Amino acid sequence: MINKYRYFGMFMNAQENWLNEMSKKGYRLKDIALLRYTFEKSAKRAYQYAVEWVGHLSREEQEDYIAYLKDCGYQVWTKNANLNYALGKIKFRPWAHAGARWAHQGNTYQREWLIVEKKSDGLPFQLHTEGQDQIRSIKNIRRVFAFWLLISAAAALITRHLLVALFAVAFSIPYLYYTRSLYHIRHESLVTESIPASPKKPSPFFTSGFPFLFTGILLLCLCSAYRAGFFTLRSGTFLFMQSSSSSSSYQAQYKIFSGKLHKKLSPQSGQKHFQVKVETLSGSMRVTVSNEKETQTFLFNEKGTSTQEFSFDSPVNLTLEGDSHSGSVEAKWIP
Amino acid sequence: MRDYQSGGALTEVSLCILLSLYQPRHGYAIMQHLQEKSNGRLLLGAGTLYGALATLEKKNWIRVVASDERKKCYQITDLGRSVVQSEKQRLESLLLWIACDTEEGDVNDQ
Repeated sequence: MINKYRYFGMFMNAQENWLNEMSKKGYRLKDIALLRYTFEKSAKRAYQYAVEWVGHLSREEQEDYIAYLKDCGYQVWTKNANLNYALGKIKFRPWAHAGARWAHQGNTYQREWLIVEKKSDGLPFQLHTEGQDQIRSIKNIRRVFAFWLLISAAAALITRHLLVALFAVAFSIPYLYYTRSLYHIRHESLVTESIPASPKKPSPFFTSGFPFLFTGILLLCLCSAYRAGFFTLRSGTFLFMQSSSSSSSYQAQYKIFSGKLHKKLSPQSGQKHFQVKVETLSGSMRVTVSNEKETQTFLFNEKGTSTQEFSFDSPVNLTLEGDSHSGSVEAKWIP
Repeated sequence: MRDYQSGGALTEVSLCILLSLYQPRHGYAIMQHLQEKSNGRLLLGAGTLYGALATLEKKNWIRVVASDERKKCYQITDLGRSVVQSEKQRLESLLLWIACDTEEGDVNDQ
């Protein structure tokens, strides 16, 4: 019994090839979890594996299909495509069938792949053997990337930020990969009905390295976005914000900020005055500075830059209330 | 290719499924029957068969006759039989055509 930890995300060929490689070495799949695959020793090449995308099916459709596959004598597992990071464990999937459009733990959340195992009988194992049917099954997964490509490309156009554009580039790679497979099948199906399982040996880059690279790029984008202050605001809306903060200062630049932001800023040794500098391009910004003794509020609604200074000697609570405000805010303790 | 009289050729998969359902069979039995009858030439993927059965059932060419222990058994309908008959005629005329043209070609070669 051995455990292996792998993450293949949205790449079905990679997962399928890897399971078949393990089978060649004499390992049979026993159990799966979020990232874990448990294998037991078996005869070499005793089992064959196929992986299919079922994320677009409703729970009932999935159950019906799984029952059918089990009747065919296959062993079936459901597998997650994502890493279980979703607010409230609910996902909106406009690309899915009616029953799966809101995926939650009661239906199809974390059940996006089927891993199907067949006892080897000398024949190739392939779930989809006809050109038109293969085209349909590849389109089902390509649609997911088409959706995210569209969203991220639109977001990149609106924000005009390199990071967002990187997401669009990242999503376009798997989209193009599946488009290439579709092109091959379409071309072949002009003259024949059945397409062989793998027309040519897939390049190792796409089967092993690529899923990790893709996930890496996405994580890198998220980390950079976090560092650039994309997730600083907890309430309110903003088009684009870049901010940085420390225990004694806060800075932000943004377009159209509507909402509220709270910060607690403490002076360091020798700092006595609290300074707020607001640059206004349009809209208005209300700044409230308070400690346990007093509260001061200022409204900035004229274009230009203005600075306010207060004398405090203890930590202050800073509240920024933007009303379609574009510009920047800088608040800090000074000597 | 468009057939203006009989509405076009059946795909190989549809024809084979219709043929194997002259007797009631469930999914896996259809796949096995296909392999036997074609001497292992035809290999039908389970996923493709699942989709094809649903389509043929929607077209009323086959119907579910029994669901014992979850297993759905299908059988061909009268409409399905007539589809197979017209396909048979189409294939016979195609065979005649093949024989006719290839012989003619061979004569010209000599």
